[in-house]
Amino acid sequence: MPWIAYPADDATKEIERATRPWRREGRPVPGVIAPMKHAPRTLRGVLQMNQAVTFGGSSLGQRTEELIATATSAVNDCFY
Amino acid sequence: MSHAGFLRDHWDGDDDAFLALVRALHALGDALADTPPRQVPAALDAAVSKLPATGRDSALLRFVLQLALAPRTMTGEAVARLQAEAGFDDRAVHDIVHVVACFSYMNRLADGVGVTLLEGRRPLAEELFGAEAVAAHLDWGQR
Repeated sequence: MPWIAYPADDATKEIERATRPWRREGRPVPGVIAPMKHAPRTLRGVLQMNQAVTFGGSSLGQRTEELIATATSAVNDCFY
Repeated sequence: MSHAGFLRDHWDGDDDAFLALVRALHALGDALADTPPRQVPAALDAAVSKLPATGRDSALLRFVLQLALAPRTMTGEAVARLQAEAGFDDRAVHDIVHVVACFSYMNRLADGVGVTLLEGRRPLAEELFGAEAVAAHLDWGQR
């Protein structure tokens, strides 16, 4: 469990909307995203940035993006 | 699917080489964690040449790791070197920097509030990074 508590996925209408992509697929909100339920506007903004920069959203192609993502997170000791 | 999981599925070489690369990257992060930032670029010159990556990937990793581990050491020379060795244009350099920044940001968020691996991701993480590294990561989250 993270060191801070955060609201449930359906705590407010705004959070419900922001977490819909995962709930629709029956998946948990990713651990690094879940604390952002404190600030749904931030959550939505971060997701938009992620989609624009990764998941094939850049000019690099997804393989190169994921190589960069994997290398950055590996040296930072982050495994998600 | 995790980012490393996607990369594994789209890796050109064999799976053992992929696992060796991921584990070597994690070990490199550990090894350089206590290195003064100004010494990181020289350390990377030596370390990246030993990673199981070649050509464009190797030049890319050299740049990515410097930005991720020692951002204040970045220089125009580092950008020029990346472009000369790997052929990335200005737009690509911008996008590379953005992906590093995006993941460094997400990593810091996780570090700041103690986000650890979801239990369902543990088997893949153990396969990628080794059970010992994953156990140490989960132990950190309990502190």
